Amino acid sequence: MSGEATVGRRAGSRRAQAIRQTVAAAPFLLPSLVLFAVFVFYPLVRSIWLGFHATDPFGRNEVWVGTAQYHDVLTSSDFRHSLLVTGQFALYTVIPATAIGLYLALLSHRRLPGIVVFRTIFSSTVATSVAVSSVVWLLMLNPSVGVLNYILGKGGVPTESWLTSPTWALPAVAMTTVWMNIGFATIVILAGLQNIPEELYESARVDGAGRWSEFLHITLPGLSPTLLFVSVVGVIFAFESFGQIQILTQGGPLGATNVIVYSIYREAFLHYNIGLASAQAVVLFVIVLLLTLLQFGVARRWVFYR
Amino acid sequence: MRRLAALCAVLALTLAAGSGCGSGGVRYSHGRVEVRLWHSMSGVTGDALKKIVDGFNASQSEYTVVPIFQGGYADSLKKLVSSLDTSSMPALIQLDDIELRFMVDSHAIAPAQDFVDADARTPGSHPANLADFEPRALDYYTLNGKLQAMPFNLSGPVLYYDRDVFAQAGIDHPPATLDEVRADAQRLLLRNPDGSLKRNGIALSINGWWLEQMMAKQGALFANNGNGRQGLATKVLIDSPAGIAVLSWWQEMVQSGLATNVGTSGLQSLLAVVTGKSAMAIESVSALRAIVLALGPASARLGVAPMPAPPAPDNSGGMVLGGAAMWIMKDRPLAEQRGAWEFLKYATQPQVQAQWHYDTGYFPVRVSSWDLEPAASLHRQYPQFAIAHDQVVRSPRNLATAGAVIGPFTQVREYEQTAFEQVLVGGKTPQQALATAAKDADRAIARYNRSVR
Repeated sequence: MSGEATVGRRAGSRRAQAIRQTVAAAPFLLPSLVLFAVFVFYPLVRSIWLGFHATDPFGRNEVWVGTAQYHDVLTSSDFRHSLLVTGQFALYTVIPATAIGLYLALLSHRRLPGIVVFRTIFSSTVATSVAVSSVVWLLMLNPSVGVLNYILGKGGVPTESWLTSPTWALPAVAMTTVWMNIGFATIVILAGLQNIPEELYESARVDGAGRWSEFLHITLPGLSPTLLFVSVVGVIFAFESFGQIQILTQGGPLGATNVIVYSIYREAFLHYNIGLASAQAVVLFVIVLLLTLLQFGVARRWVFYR
Repeated sequence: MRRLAALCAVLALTLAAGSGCGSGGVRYSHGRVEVRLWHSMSGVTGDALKKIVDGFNASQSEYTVVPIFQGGYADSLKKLVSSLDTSSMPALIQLDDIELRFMVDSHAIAPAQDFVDADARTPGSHPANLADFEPRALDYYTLNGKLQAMPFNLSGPVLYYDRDVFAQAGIDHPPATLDEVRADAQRLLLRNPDGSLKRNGIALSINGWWLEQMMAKQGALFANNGNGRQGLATKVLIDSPAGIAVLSWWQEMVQSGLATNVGTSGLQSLLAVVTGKSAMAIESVSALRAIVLALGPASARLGVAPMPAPPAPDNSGGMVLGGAAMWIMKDRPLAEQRGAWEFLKYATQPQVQAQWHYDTGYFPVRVSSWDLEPAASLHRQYPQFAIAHDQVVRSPRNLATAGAVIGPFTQVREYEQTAFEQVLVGGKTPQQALATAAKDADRAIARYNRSVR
């Protein structure tokens, strides 16, 4: 059946074909739909439901409490503090990880013998689990036997109890997260660089453009969809961070690293206030949704798609 | 037709993935009743528990205990709560001391007392000889007049100190009170030629347990209504003089540089002593076995003493015997519960406990285990264990040393921890920090008490 023949048909028959296609596709979509329903949609609906109910610590005796728990969450100074910490954490992680990833990608984009070795090293953190890298950083940040303070001490810089200081704990956790995210950022940006047509650089060079001018007018605009993607994913990573907080600081000291996800975890699985935790989770869901929409709104205006 | 078959296969697979649940009948394994045990013992202690389980399984032919490591106590409890009213619940679970009230309120447990009483009524049974159990452990796990859980691994805090450093400074005995710790720390400080600190007096970790223990050592109650043992606790009493005395000392020690604050990890404070950065540390005795195993003969240098605390009026204070206990779950079939109880009786036999103490360093739950081999030879080789145990037997038995019983204890501990952080790095006075912590704790307790009634 050729393309022209299909175009010539009446709309009714096209609808019939669409229905047939949907029916044919349904069984193939079903497994993933069922998995989505079980692991995403059901928990989501259940969280919203639980946000409106108080239970005993064992999740029994559900009692309708209306919006009381949402009110508790939104007016609680602890929750606002968690929100602020999460925002700071996103700021401290997304910008450095994207910048360093961009730098490393530019370095390793050149065609040089053995460059693959460097590309592998730069992107290797993507293959390291959060738990493993957190444990390694925990040892490096140890105030008495850690290598970081040892190096700082040798260099005459004052040493610090990184993870127990309310000032330094969040930057320290952010630093480990940046390290973890560099690999991902580098790989994605490197792929983005390879998508920029070589001819653009060639004609720019013919026109006498310098390296800086090339970067500013060809590389950056060409990379803008990639950079947007890396930063959106980075923000979502930041809002979902849990492993490194659990291993490095458990939200402390004085709540300095108590990001929202960790606060939800504490409320649900250490305090067993399941309704309150669900209300927090729903609020977080709305915030991430809004942020994502906002970022894509910005994208439509600023990002250069070919 | 073939496509339909493929569709059915896909559907069947998808549905099967979602339906792993069966009914809650007795579990069998090779013709024996299977008793699942959720525990939190890993490494050395995990091997030691495995030894007990193997011994029990070989000693009889009716039950098979299957030990399942579920992570730390908090992780294990989390999984238990999600498994309530399902068939994946274990028959037996090991949980830490502070979950006492929570577990009783779950209405999901069968008190150990019921099995003790049933044994007493049954001719020919081999009842547990509670008279030989460490009475302070029974005190802890007795609530509403019943022994709720079977004490299994017992521990308490001790002072670790560097004996060589003490000898060099001419101090012949470890400090017993907080004032003595301060005085000794001043003599133990060591400076580099450039004036910076090479060694401080004591490494202090942040842990609500220290506050609870130091209050008990002063004979003070931690919670109202007799530490929650004469009635439901509704308030914590941490903003009392006994609590303020502890935090004031803590603040002064850290701010003067005599002590170093290592944060919430207890391991860090022990590391500081072992590496010579601090002369003393306060940590659980349960770390002692691992240290002795790691250091061997070199561990002779590591001294152990009762945890220092402000003195108590007329010897009314002492240590709370913490650790963990085994709980029998009442929704498992009776055959499994019986198996769980038989296992607990085996696991708390004097000989088994003497070996358990030797392997792990936890205090034995049986009084008579202390003089049995291999425990006795361990004490000859490492007198530190005997010193730590002295602290247990010298503690008077009263409501303060029986320990507090609070539903949301984990949450209360977090508020205690926040109070520590507020005075150490948050610029608050001990009075302010403890008043805030008490207010937050009371609110959590009220919320909890309301939800379980």
